[in-house]
Parts: sequence; structure tokens; C-alpha cells
Amino acid sequence: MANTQKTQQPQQIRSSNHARNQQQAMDALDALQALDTDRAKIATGYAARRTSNIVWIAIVFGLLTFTYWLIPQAWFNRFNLPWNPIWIVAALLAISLLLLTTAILLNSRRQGIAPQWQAPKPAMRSHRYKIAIAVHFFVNFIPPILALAVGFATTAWWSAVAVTLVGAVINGAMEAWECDETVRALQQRTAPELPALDSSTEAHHDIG
Amino acid sequence: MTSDNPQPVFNEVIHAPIRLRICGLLDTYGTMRFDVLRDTLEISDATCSKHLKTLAEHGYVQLNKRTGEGGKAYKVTWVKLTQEGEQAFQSHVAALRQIVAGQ
Repeated sequence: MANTQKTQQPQQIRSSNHARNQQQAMDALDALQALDTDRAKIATGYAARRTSNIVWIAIVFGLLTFTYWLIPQAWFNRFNLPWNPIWIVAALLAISLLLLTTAILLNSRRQGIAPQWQAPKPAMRSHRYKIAIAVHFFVNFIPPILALAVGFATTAWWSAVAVTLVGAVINGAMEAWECDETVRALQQRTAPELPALDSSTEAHHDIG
Repeated sequence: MTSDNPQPVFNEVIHAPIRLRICGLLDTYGTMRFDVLRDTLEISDATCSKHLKTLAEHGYVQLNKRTGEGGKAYKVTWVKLTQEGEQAFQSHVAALRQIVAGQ
């Protein structure tokens, strides 16, 4: 009888340790899942603001591209204005930057967070988001170069509209990509897939 | 600056469910208004204050009171995750992942 009890004790200790480890794993998983739920809420907020963000960016960068088109016109004073036309360029640049700053400040105020000049940290850590930012950086040079070239070549009003649209569409599309990657990064699970936790985990509540 | 692969260190202070969620939200946003944090977590003022106080005592968050917008009389509290807090949070999450993975 005593021998049987001795052989059962290590088994009970092992079983108890196993149950404790599994309980810890379950607690840790619950904690990580709570973090994932909060991040999913934040992702929903970003997804809801996607359209307005794209529209703001398209307006600001459309205006900026139009400003670049105006630079050659102002430089050669093609509109024969009685005052220095470079003021129009300066004013448009100021308006574009003001619009961009206003958009960021309004967004942060609506969210109740400090103004963010970058995406949330999980997005900044995402490889895919970094690719989107890098592509945006290089694509960003296309509208200004195009606008300067077209502005140098012609004064036609439709060319101004065309380059403005190019600037708006390119930057709007890039913003859409960045928004999607931000949401994707925020939706990524922190909690890893649970390795085979057996059904005995639930039997250690001392109930019944 | 936090590294991409933080050392897993279990942190008893951060592990409390509400404090973990506070750190998680602040890790995402950096700085948040107290009322937004409280509403997101769906907890009372007192509970939120208590947990923030604990985190602040350990140097994980920084609380700043600023005058309300438009020169309003009341003060608005802004909560910021410190660099130490960010590192501790990242290490704790790594430790939790390790526990779940059974290592």
C-alpha cells in the first residue's frame, strides 16, 4: 500500500505541474487575445477613416501638383500679371501644407490622441507597410516632374487639370495602399497559435 | 528605441489585465487622452486612474495635465508610454508568447 502511494506521488506532482503550466499558458493566451481585440478596434477606426484620408491626401497633393505646374508659368511670367506671380506659387504651397496639417490635427483630435505624423507603431514595424512607404516616396516624384515639364511646355488650362488629376490620383492610390497596410498590421494577431493544449486544462477549477 | 526581438521578461506590474491593455493601446498610439483611454477600455475613472498611477510609479507612463482646448478651465490629462514602459511591454508580450508556445 505504501509502495503504491510512493509511485503515485511523482505522477501526481507531474500531473499538477502540467496542469499549472497549461493554466499559465491559457492565462497568457487570454492576455494576448485581449490585446488583439483592442488593436482590432483601433484597426476598425482606421478602416472607417480610409475614405476621408484618401480624399484629403488627393486634394492636398492635387493642389501641390498644380502648384508645380504654375512654377514655370510664374517664372516666365506668361500670364502677364502686374505683380510677381511667384506669390501665387508661395500661397498655394502654404495652403497645401496648411490643409495637410489641418487634416492630421483634426484626425488626432477626433481620435483623442496626440497628433501623429507617422502611422501607429505596429504599422511602422510591418514590412509590408515599409514597402508601401518606400514605393510612395519614389512615386511621389512623378507628379512634380511631370507638372514642371508640362507647365514648361504649355499654358493650356486642360494641361493644368490633367497634371492636378495625376497628382491627386497617384497620391490617393498610395494613401489607400498605406491605409490598407496599416489596418492589416493592426489586425495581425499577437497571440500565437496554441500548441496542443489537451482537454484536461478545463478540469482544474476545483469545481465538481 | 525598441528592438524587433525584445528579450522575454515577465512583468508582474504590466501583467494585470487592465494595465496590459493600457500599455497595448499606448504602444499603438504613443500618447492618448485620459477620457479616450477610459472609454476604450470601458472602465471607470477611478479604476483607470488607479492603474495609471501604478504604471506611473514604475516609470512606465507619463501623465501630463494640460489646459482644455479653447482655454477652458478644466485640465485634460494626456497619458504617454515612456521608453522604459515600451521596452517593458514589448518584453512582457514576448514572455507571454513564450509561455503560450510552451517554451
